[in-house]
Amino acid sequence: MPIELEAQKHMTITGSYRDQYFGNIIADLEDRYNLQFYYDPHLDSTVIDIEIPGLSVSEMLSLITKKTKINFLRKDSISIIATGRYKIEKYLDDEFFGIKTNKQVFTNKHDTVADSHDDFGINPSMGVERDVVEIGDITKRYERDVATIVGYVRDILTGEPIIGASIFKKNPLVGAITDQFGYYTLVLPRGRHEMIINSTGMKPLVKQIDLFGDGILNIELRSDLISLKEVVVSGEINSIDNLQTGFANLNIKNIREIPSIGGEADILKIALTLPGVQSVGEAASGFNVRGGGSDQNLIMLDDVPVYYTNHLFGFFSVFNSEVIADADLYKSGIGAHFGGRISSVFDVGLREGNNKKISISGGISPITGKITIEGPIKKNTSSYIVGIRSTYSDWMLSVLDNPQLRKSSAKFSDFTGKVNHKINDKNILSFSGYHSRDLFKLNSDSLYQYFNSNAILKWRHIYSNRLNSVSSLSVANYNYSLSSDGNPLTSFDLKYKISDYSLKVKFNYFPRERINFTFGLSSTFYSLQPGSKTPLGSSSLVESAVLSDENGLESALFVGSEAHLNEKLSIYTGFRLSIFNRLGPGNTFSYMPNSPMEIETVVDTTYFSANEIIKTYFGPEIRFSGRYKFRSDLSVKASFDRMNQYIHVLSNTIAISPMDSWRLSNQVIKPQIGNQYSFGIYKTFLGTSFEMSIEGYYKRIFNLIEYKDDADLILNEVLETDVINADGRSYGLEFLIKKKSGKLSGWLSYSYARSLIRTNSKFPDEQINAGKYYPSNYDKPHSFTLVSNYKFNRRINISLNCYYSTGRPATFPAIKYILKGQPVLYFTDRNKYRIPDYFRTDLAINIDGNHKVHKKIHGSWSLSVYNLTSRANAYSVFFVNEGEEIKGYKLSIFKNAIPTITYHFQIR
Amino acid sequence: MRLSKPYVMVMFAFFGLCGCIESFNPKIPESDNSLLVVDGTITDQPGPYIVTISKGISLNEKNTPVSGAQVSIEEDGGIIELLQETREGVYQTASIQGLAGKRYRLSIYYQEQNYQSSWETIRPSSEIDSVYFKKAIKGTTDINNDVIGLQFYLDSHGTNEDSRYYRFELEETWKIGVSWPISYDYIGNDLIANTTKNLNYVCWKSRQIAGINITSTTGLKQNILSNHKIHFATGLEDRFTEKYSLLIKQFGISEKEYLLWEKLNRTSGGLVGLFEKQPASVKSNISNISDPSRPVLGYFSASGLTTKRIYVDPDQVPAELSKQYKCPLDSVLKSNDIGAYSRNIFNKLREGKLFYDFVYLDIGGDPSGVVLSTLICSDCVENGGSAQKPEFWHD
Repeated sequence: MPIELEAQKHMTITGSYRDQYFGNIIADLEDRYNLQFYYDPHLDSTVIDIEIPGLSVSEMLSLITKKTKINFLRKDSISIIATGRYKIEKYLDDEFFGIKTNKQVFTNKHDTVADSHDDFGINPSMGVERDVVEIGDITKRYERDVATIVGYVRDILTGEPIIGASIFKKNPLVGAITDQFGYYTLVLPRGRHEMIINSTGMKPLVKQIDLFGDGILNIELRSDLISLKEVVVSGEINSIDNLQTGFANLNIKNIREIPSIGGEADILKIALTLPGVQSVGEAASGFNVRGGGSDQNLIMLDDVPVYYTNHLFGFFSVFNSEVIADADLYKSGIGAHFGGRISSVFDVGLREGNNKKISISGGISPITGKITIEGPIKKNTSSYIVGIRSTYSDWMLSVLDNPQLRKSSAKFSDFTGKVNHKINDKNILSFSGYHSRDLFKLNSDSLYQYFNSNAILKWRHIYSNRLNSVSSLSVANYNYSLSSDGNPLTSFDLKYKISDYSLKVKFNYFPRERINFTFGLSSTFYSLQPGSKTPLGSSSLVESAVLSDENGLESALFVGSEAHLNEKLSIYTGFRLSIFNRLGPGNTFSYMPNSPMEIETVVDTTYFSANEIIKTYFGPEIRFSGRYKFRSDLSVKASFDRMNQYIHVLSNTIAISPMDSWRLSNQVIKPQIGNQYSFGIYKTFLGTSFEMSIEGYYKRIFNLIEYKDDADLILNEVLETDVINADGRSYGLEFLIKKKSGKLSGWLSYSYARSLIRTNSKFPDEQINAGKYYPSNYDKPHSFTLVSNYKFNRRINISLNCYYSTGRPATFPAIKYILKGQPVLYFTDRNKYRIPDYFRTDLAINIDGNHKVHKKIHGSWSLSVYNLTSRANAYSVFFVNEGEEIKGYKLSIFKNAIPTITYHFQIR
Repeated sequence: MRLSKPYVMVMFAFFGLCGCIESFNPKIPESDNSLLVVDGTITDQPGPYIVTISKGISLNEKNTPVSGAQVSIEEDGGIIELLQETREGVYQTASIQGLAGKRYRLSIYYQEQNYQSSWETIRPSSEIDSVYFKKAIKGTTDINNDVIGLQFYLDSHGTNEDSRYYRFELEETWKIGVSWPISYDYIGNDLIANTTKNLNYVCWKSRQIAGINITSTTGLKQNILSNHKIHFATGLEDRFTEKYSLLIKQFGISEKEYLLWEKLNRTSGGLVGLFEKQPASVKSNISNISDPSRPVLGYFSASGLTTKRIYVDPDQVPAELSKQYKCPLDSVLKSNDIGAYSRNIFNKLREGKLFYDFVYLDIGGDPSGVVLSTLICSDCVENGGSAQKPEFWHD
């Protein structure tokens, strides 16, 4: 060391910092010189304009002190303590240094893990503001015991609202979580409080407040990605405290680190790593939550339902990760303001654009390219964000060995945009739109296309600190078409379209401390063109077949209340009354009693004219959640959810495809109803570093739709003759251990889950497996997931994920026989067998570029390997006659490890 | 609407880049009891009509023929004819003649169980207007190696009475020759005699074309098939070297039978992706009346039948298709050691080689050696043909 010390003495420092944050200057100095700074993070945001022309360390420190009134203390030749406003004499040094590390008043930035056993304790990496913020009118301080604070939490650099941030005080714990506009409302007793503000990927903040009365507290957090400190999340409202069972929040900042196929960060694929979420196969579109069908998930982008959520038939989701803020998945404990699907709610939130300056970011992978532009329209008031993504994947097809594919083409693109405008402190408007297009041309004579188009206008209004509302008008549209022109005589166009128009008003009311209400109404008008086939070209002999339009109106009134009865017990009670009117035009058919519904058994037909009510269903839906907190680190919860669903995907294929159509309930096809009972035990360990949960559920589904064997669901006018009424039953246990802080973070989950279906008809033709329970296509009893991320340093982290699940059920043949010279197979019981178990490991290395803050372009590289072990997982199993023998084969999509390099950049 | 193929292919396209198909043999227990398999047809063309009955037990065992059953076909309001068992498990009619518009039913009595089909009406099959062909190139999985062959098309037009559901059975027959017809036998010492061997220089190969071949004209304004691709025949074999003939049997089937074939095609046709329907048990139109809970496999089909045969002469096809493949010849050349030369020839003849001709290196001189053919190059029966000229064949 003496030699180094010698060198240190003669160190000459140069640097030029124009309006830089103190923290960034320090980081830069530490990078370049052998210096270590210790300082209170609230100094971080001090802006300094300084030119260091080649000074010694002491000269430089004096210069900074002169400019900023920040004092320094040199402990030794390397360590420098910023003492802020206080000038500290040298002889206090050692003692001061000692106190500091024990009491954690100051911060050593290179400490990484919160080693605090005090839950929600202030740990060394938190920013602590000692200035006390006074809220409310001091003269009215004796009027009431409690006061309401409202405000927003935003990113200090981009002005983007932070969704899902928690703002809370401890002992006793009272807190709130910001909504989709970054706003929160919190009712607290008057007096002095220490508020902790926290959000994933952001630096936590502690604020002292003196609460005299109702008032506003706006908070700005600093992103951890920009200042590039270790992500230390400690203290937030976690699963111990929130009321929901079966809830997960996915933050996009974490998602980028997870290896993905083709380098596309994909929020839907990440959802599949959560316990209780399954899919029928690799790259299958849709997912299944706790034994429910994939059409039973309400998947929304910025509160608008998305009817088909995948590009390229399942490889990618339609959500562009660049413009997404986060996603919430509710498997149970679903609030009364959600409804319309019976299994889950997957709520994807869009980001708001940077309202301080223009920023451009983008990414390039072998399959897609994307670019996002955002910026202020009027600084601090309104901003926009636009994201465009497209494939250039045709080159992959041209090198294939399949002759048909060489002449084919597959493309997709999507556009996402959002504009938001803050009219004043009480009113915010936002408008967002989404459009996606998929195209697949097979063998140059069949063209498949499908489109999603969504738009929503939202208005958030604050009436008072106790009452606010969000109102919205939205439209969602999905359509597909197929043109076939291989043979002029049989050329045709096939089209399908669904549109919904929706109005929603939701109020949040905070009458007093520890209780709040949500109430409102929603109404959705569905308009479907369920199918048309028309001749293409003048020589086509195809007969036009156009199904009559289908209309329906789904309305709901809802009210929910969250009450924290005491320190330990909190309950949510919700009630939703949904009403569905199936509207004309259309024919309804009555059938011969006591006979299966078939065209032959129709006895009467009634015609309804446009918008005449054909059938009305009412659905009272009760939602309940309760939480009992035994200790600060242990709670139990229970919930009940009843959900009604009036719109269904008709699909008798194993996975849903873009050519499956959504259809409305009618006088025969009843609404699907789900009842779910769930419970959970939640525990944290080692402070809050580890979070563990065990959740169990039992679910009954009524009026599930199954299909007769020959059902042809496209252009089917009399649907009820091809569907079978069925019941579903599912149950399971889900274990999850999550580590959120430290160099190593991630989660480990195991679930045991069963999903069974039974047909209800007494007619043998309408029974599957003789009316007994059989496993659904997505019944995978055992599944195991590991998602892990290790941060070596600020710039390099590695993610390693493993997935295991039981193979999905399949139907295998029992007998081979010859019919008219052709060997054919006889299949018996549905889903009696299983395809081989699934196992996959993925790895990603993420490297951030140089972090010089004054650099204009930030680049990062991601190297990922999908299916690291090159295991050929079975996608499907099939049987082929080969002479005398029946041979079984399994088809795998991936046989090799698939490496991908992705480059991502950001220009600020 | 089958959309599965494109999806599966896109999956391959994007990431597979390999045909990752591996053998997979799950343990499937044998069914506890065997099922009766019945395959019967009646058409509006003269019989005899055949009904075969067998028993199916498991996937990998051949079905065993069922002998000694009482089988009858009944015309609605008409005669009932009892079928004769001509071979084990094969039953044949003698006189009944199917008529379009009439209904027929199959009944079986076997081991104290009664089996019966539903009534099936014969609907006429539409007229086949023409069958024609074009040279076509088909890609293969090898990007540099496309296959050339003939694509056959079918045009037919039917009335509204005719069935709109079609099933095709195809049978191809072609004439082949030999590379080296043998005229002489080698006696020794460069002497030859007219051959005594009875070799076949003209043969016919015949083959049922495998695969379920169905289509329908429902959804079209008229019952017309036009430019309907019926078969692709590759030129890889010796199909088009002499003369080729394709027989098309077009059955006008019922909607029910069409759906059955569609389902069988889906579940027995190989590749199954996630966008496929679940394979399901195929319901026969024959049931066990004594014990309705026991399924019966197979089908009793009543259908109209029209046929068309076309011939393809070598001069109608591109030269690369009609080009004769010539076998290589073996040769033995004279050396100074005449004894060794002779021994050499006789050794080869003993091995089965055939004398074809002498070779002359000097014009007008003595033979310089012999060239030898093999049986497969000089007898087309050895090459898989039949010397029996088919009855229908005309050159």
